[in-house]
Amino acid sequence: MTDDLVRVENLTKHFPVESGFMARFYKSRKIVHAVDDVSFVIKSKETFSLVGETGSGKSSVAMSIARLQIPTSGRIIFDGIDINEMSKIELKQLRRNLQFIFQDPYSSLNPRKTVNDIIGLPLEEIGLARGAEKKKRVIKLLEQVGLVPGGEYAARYPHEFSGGQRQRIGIARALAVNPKFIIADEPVSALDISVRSQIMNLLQDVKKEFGLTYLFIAHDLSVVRYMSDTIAVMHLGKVVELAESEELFNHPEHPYTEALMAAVLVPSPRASLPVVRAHGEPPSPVNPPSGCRFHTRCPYVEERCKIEEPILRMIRPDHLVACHLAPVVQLKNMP
Amino acid sequence: MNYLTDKLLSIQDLQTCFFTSSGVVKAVDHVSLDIARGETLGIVGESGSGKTTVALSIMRLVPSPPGKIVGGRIDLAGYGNLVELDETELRKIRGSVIAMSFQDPMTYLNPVLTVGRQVVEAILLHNDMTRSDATARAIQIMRRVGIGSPEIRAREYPHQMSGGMRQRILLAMAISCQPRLLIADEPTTALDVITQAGILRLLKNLKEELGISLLIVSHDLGVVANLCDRIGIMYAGRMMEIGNTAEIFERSRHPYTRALLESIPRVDVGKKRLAVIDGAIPRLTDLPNGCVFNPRCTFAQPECKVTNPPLEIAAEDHKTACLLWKQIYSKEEIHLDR
Amino acid sequence: MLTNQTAAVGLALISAVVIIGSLAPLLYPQGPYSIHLTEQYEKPSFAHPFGTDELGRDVLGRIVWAIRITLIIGIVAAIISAFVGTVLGGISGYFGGWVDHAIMRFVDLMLSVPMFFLVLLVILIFGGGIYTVMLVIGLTIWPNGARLIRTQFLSLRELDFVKAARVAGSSDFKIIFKEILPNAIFPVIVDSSLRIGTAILTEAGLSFLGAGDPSSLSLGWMLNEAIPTFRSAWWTGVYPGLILAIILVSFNLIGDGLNDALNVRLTQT
Repeated sequence: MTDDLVRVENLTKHFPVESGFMARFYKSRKIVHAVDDVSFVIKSKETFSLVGETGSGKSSVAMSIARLQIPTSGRIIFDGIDINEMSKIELKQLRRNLQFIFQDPYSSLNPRKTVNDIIGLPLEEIGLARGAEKKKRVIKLLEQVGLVPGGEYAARYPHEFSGGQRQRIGIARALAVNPKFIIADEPVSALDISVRSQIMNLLQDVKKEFGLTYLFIAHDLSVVRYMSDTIAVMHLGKVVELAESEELFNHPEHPYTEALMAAVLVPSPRASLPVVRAHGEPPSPVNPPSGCRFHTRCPYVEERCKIEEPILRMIRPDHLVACHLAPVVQLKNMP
Repeated sequence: MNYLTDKLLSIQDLQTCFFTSSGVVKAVDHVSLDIARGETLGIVGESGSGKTTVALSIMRLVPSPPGKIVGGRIDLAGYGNLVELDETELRKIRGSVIAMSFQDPMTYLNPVLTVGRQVVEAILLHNDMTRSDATARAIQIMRRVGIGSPEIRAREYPHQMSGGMRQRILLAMAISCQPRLLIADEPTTALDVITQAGILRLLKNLKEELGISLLIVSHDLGVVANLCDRIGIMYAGRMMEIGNTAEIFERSRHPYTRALLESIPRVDVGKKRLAVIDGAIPRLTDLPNGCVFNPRCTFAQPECKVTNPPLEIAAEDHKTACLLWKQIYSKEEIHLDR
Repeated sequence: MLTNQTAAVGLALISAVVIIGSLAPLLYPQGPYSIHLTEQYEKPSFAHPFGTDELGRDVLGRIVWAIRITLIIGIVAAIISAFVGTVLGGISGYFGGWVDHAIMRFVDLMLSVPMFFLVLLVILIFGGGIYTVMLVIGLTIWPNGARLIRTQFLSLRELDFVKAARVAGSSDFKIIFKEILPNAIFPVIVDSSLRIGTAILTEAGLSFLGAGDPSSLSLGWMLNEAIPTFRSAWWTGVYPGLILAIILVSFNLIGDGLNDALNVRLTQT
């Protein structure tokens, strides 16, 4: 498909629990199954969200796509070319098209550099601008993200800014080289509540203005609903459900998705207290359960679930689920 | 003299300051609130709002130096003004009459003792029992807070448990001596969504079964909406609005509360564009004059930059600290719940 | 930093010493070698506040000149050690894996060998010119600094702004020197000031044993020459030793004060 910007195929990332030179020789070396055989497609100009709790692997997927981590196996195809097979020039082009917005506004900006140098770094590395030209572009970017007058802010240091402002600087940095694709890893989670909507709206505006495609990593379903076009729900390294946003919220099919949605807090006294639809504790990604990884907590669990791992399959157009009981569950939910 | 009727705790005009090298921080600036017996009160606020300092002030656990309660009263039914009590008397109250659980359980649990041992120690601190009796009681309480197979899990160490479990252990320790007031500081922050729901349900059950009063401190409006009878909204050390939960959510009379409610994305609502609150939370060493929220308030008038609004009665069980609330909201009868 | 009393005292002391040393040409223009055989072994007096030695040379005058050598050797050696330590520690902490292991095992090796004897051995083999001494000391006292830097790099490299630089396309070496190092510089400074003390002490020890550079008069050499007359003409040894001690103490105080400031900083971030 030509409007697929990013194709992720069978992405797998394992980490050894014990690091160290000698650990190689331990036969019983434990492995963290951070990501296991994950596949999905991100279309051009859409906001694709990866949702999951801690240990779901969503951050690892983001890191692997951004080449901040080397995957254990699998392919990532960007704009038609497999990243692993890119030449040096093509990799440089990749850097120009793929940028990242980080979660923590306090550690994502180098405290010893000025805002001008922070935002201008990608421009320098890609070779687009230096010196005065760089400064000019930085000022323009600052103003585009709402920090006006840009000239005044460019010479300052990160500690002079609030969390929300720092996040704007991070966004400006990601936009500097005019990329096609931006990975935003929990961009509002670390911000105060009164500031979050500023940044969420900014991300929406900038997306339209620059014609961007987003991969959005989040754990807060309310934020995800507001921002996303397509959503993939991850659990313990696997994609368990993938659907268009409204479809997912209106017809969740996977028991884990159902449990997530039942647990979401609605800020209204009329809403009922969230329900717990998954019993027990989240298993550790070091020794994932056999069969379906959610089976130890699933309210609908059957024998088959403990042995056989379900495959992600389409149950409706644009709606994939990895659950043995999906067709049955669907029946139960029908009005 | 005891002014309390069925009130368990009454805070009047509390002022807690931190004396730092960059200036005096008024972490809690003239805050008043009451908690009745069996009631659940929520204090909501963002970073720097002072909500945690209020909780620590009640427990008299404000780190001192650099912090100090410089004014006001905290009256606890049957014990008088907590601000005036000395350490020996406070130690009898802490844990047994008022108990507290904290946001990051890992910091508050001893990493070298088993969790079971820690609950037992909490019990023995205020009860004259044999160790075996205390152990039996600990197992009982652990089961009460939703820890399955407590006899086995009691032998685990904090680092072996999940975040949700650790929070339950802290709550177990807190309720172990049947306190009359349980203060839960950010009980669900840093926990995953499903685990959060479990803790909230637990708090609700505890409240109903034990009849204790609860003070929930949180930055999450969803947490307090679901759990609390009454809520107080704090910002930069001051109480902005306080009253019945439904009343505040549906008929808020404060620009800050309203703006907050309109800027939060909700999962039960579609993609309507979120309202934005301009600006950022002020630094506590550099607060604006007059109403603390005025630089960010769309309704601000000149008097807002001069006068610090007092809490006024806006409706039954509803007080607001805004000079202009009558003008802004009198013509409305809207329900914020969409 | 300057409000820290420890560092302030140390700074005051060393400033006094440096000023005196730099004024040497003014205070004793005749240089440290001017011999007055008529005034041998005179006790401390108004004319010679610290007395004279076996060749009639004014002890205070010699001290004033010797301060320069001692300080220069110490500072240059510390700079060399800071350089080596930072580079090795930085590479080790940033890359991790087998590079880190290899470098750290080397560090362990260096630390397990008694530093002083290593230096002594090298000097005795290669001769003791002043430059050799500075170089050799610098190349032996770096391991502690390397460990410190490595720890800094290990934690700093995990921070998001490093990842951001990688996403922007920065090369590893650019990240090490332009992103991480500026943030790790304070511990380098702290460690270096402590290293100066170590370097000075090492050189003093070498010279005391006669293994230093005889053509450059350092405080350690003065001690060496004072050995025969320790008891009888005590002033030839005590005063150089005292000044040496003051120098060492002041560098330690500065290092301690900076260390305290560093810890405050680290706990604040």
